[in-house]
Amino acid sequence: MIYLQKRKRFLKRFVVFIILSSTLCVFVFILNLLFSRFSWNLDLYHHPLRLIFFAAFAATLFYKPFDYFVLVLFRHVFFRKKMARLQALKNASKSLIHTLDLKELSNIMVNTVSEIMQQRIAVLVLWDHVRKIFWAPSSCGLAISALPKIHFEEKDAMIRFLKDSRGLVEREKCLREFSWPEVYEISKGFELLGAQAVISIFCEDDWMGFLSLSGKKGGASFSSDEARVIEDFAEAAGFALRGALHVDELKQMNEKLKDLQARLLQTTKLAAIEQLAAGIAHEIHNPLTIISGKAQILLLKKNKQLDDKTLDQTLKTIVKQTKRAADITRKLLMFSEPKSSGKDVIEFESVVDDTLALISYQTTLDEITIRKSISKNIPPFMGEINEIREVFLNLILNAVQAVEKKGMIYIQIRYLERDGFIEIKIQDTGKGIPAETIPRLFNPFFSTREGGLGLGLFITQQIVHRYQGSIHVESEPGQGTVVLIHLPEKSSSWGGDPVPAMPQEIRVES
Amino acid sequence: MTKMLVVDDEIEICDFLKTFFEERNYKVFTALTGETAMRLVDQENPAIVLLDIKMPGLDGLEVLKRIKTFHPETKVIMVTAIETRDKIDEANRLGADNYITKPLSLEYLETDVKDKLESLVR
Repeated sequence: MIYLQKRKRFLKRFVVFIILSSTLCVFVFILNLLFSRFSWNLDLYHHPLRLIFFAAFAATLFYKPFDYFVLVLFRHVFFRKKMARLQALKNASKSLIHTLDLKELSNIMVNTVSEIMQQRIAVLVLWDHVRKIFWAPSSCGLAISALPKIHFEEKDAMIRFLKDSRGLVEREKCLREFSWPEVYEISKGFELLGAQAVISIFCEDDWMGFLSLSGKKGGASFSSDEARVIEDFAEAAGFALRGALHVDELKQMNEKLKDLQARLLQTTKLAAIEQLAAGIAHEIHNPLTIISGKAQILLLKKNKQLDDKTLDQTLKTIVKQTKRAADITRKLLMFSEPKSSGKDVIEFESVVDDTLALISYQTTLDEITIRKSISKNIPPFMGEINEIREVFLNLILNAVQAVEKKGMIYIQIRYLERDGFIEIKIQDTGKGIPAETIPRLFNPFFSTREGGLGLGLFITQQIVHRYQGSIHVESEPGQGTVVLIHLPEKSSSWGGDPVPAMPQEIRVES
Repeated sequence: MTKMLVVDDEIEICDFLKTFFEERNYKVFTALTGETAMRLVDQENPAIVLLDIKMPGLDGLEVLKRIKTFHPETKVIMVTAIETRDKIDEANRLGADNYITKPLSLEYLETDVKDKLESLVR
């Protein structure tokens, strides 16, 4: 291979020499002609010093353009195909940085290199700083199922060597630098990956892993041009990978946060239901008591004469009370429903009514009057019904707790056409909130109630913000509190995850 | 005829208890609120009261307290849906004679009422 490369270099020098010397001859000839035309008695041929002077002058003036010309000639005429490939790899490395998805980036890297450099096998192996393991996000030519078997450890000779090597490392050259037993270990590493060459991927001084290549057909070595382009590619890949790894980390954290938030939502939901439990137990036990009581009276009367009227009334009561118990359990179940998958058209009136049904027993006991005013002109609002129910339940429960006994809760929903907002106003005549407490209301785990979780308003605010809405609390201690929510008529938060889609363009010329 | 007062904010419950005990020769008064209950206790001086806890206004425990203060000889059976432990303890502390949870077994309720009345006669 080295012999081959030498021959190429020789050929190149030879052509440069021919072109240069012939140009020089022509140049000297023209000069001589000029001198003789103006009959200056200068015999260039007989003054070697002058000849040398002119030759030097010509060389300094014309060497660079000629060298460039020859280079271009070689690249675009003799080795056109190869240059196009290298150019494609260069272009590809430039566009790597735009790919933020780790999986996609790894696939692009491996596929691009293997396709452009005509590699049978290419494997990207990355070092996971957190879990302290090596893993292969993408490979080509090696079954992905074989990848978990690719087992490296930090202390392996090959890894130690790669961490210190910048640039493309070819198997033969690398093995020459080591002695037994490292040679054995390193060659085994190469074999595992089906590799003839390996290149470390760095981002600045941070070693991130390596890319292994199966080498050229027939075991030929990479030319210096090829090696340089691969190295440039690896450098660009390092930066791109770091970006993608960060994005990946953020994505994972985002997932964790989402999960946590879902659990928080569930906790607040449970806490709310716990508060409702006593009222709901009554709402179910009372109809059951009535049903069982009426039935027992009928049973005890079975030996005596029964008149149709009593029987009819009893049965009607039983049917009515059964429906009552079923209604309350159905409404309670609405709150424990899993997250609905899609968008629902929110009917604010029925959401309010369902919520009020759940707390009706409590409000009757506490002598709280509830007034509601819901405009008819509210435009269709898309959202997740459970989230909206959660908002109303939290706010109405808060109002009930604020009022304690004897008071009023006023619920108003209207459409502010000019601003494109749906306004939800929940007002109570409760004890109010001191001004210094208001800014802390939406903090998680902030509660003024003993044993309160302090998540209700926090979750409510999160939900409202998800719809790009706003929530405000105004309060006058001793007078009551007003909670005001503005929801944009068309909230654009709906329609999926905010993952930016980056355009991808890699041109491979051949 | 033994006088009985049924206190429950649920009219249907008052109704069937009234029917049941009237057939067993009791004179039954019903009250839907704590306030009415207190008035009837003062007016009619029933021997036994079946008392719900959760009611708007004056609640069952408050009524129990007043009955036991002003009419200590009156027997009071608490008849309620599931309650928290401290509510039950509170009722016992205030001198409730028994505590029965809904839904009711009318036969058990009748036996219990008879029991309490017999202890009163003795």
